[in-house]
Amino acid sequence: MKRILLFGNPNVGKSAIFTRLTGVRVIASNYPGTTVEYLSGKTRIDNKDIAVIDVPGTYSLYPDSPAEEVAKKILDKSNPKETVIVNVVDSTNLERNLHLTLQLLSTKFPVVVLLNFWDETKHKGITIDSNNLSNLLKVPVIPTVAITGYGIQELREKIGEAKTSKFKIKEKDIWNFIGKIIREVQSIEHHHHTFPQILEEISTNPLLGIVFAGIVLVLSFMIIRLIGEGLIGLVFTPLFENLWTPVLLKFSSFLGDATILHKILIGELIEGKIDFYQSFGLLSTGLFIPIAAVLPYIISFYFVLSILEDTGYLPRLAVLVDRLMHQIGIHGMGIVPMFLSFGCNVPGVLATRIMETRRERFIAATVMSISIPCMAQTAMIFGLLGKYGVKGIAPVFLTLFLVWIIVGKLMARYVSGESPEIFTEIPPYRVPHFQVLFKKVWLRVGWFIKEALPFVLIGVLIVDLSYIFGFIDFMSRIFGGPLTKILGIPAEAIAALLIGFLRKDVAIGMLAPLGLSMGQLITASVVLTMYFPCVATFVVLFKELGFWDTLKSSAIMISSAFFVGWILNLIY
Amino acid sequence: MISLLEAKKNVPLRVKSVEISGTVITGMRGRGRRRGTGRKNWCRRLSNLGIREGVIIRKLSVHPFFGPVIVRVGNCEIAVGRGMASAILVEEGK
Repeated sequence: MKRILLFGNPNVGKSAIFTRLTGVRVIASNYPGTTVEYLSGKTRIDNKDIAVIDVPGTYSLYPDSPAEEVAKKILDKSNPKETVIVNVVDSTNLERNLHLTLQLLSTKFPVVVLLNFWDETKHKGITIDSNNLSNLLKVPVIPTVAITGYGIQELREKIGEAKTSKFKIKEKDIWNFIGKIIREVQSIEHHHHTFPQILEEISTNPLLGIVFAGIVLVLSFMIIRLIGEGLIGLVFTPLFENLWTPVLLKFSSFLGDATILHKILIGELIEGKIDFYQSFGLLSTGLFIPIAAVLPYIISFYFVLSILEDTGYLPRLAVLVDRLMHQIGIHGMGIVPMFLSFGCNVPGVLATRIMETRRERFIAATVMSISIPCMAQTAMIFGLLGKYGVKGIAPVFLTLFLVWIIVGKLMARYVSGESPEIFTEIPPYRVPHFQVLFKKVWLRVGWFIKEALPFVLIGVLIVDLSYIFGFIDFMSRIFGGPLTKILGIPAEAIAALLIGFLRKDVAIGMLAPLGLSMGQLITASVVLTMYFPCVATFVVLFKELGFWDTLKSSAIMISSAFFVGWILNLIY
Repeated sequence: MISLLEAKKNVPLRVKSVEISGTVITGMRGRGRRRGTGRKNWCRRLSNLGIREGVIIRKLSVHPFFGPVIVRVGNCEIAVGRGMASAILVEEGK
């Protein structure tokens, strides 16, 4: 045995089992589609290193979505002599889960079956005879609770006993056979509705559900703001002002404030002081933007998002917004990638794979790249326009929402292809496991630091060098005229538009020293959000959509950005 | 026999048959029907999630303005679109 494949339906706790086996930090979520790229790690069994692969959730071996296609491909590429399949089964939904189990048993691979969520069967009045099930399936069956680790040791001991079952069963007889198994191994007692079940039914009720969703979203927003502002005001800003500023000032007088090195590392002194938004040096603004202005919001956003994911709320929201989403030509599950892209557009675009058709993926990816600002951008918009209050911030987000609807509606009208109706499982509410939750937030925050920090520093460096070598002056002389005419913002803002390709948070930060009016700031923020995705998003768009669709998508973005900018210019 | 869409809420319903036609697909335009959106495929996807001939399901709610229908199948809830709901034929009672 050289590797283990973890197979199972979506929402059966595969990723949690994976984390238990490998100890590798991994995203474990409660809705279909998180594990779009499969994750792999290593575990030690009998003093041998064995690769473990967390295969995307699938209902059958006949793929119906790109995520399920990945699962099938992984299976096809594996060698039955070196691979063991660990089939994770939701024991509260045994009947449905056994369908995939039987399909796996009829392959050439040795299989072990895990009955996960074993603890929940007790609350739900379900009794399963696992020994009998093992006899019927002719493979080891182990009850587990991934969150507590119950059963994992038994899995390690018994995985060597995995065997090929050589079940031969025709697809049309499979459900009858499952029915027979269920009658033999499972009994269900009637039980009263538990509190989570009542909550489940409220949150998908057409009327109460909307009230519930309103409360959830307002609360989420408040918590994000509270944690974000709290971290900025109480931790990061004092840290920079009290500890970092004195160091920088000393360094500044050491360098002498007219040298090129001073300009690059520390930037301009504003009235003899360092202004972290305006100085624009690598060590001042270059560190301040990602760490003190953006990181706190990234932490708080991912904390709240992970709670919404792990409790299983997002698919319920999908049901409620299904009608709204059909306006833009995709079904309700499209809310999941949209929500993710408020954190960062990159995972947002990747998550469009949960949509079934190419048309839906194209619309979803384009609409989100145009109109959804990532958390880094949002944090900077709040930083810049926050002083004007609602009057400054509301127009930005209201405009983006209108753009979302209008561009979406146009695309739904003119993009060819098909959009199926919503059809999704709504998993039960589960209390998130805080250790897994914090690991997940940590993983995502770590990703931001690794991916974004270098780009921000490169961005700031390019800005400084461009100013020093007169490139910005050159560009603003060529493009400045039309820019001022159409958008009403000064020619110097062209630098921000150029840097926007690299990092949008830096680009918005570049508007700070220009002394723009509120209207100009609003226009520039909206245009910067819309006109082109940052480099990282562009790369995944290209990978997901291919050359032509990315080109089309970019054309839509640039033209609509300048059109909306022009209209905003007329208003303000 | 009536469709799931017309059936009463919160009573046990036995699925008699699934008659999927073109109604599942909304917003269809142009050419290029992708593999896997035909009738057989949707029947298979429904049965993968537990909706197939002979099983007992329960309709929980119908969302207004042509929104989805929520059903309870075994231990989980499933959202299906209206087109699909009208293609699932059911009978009241166990």
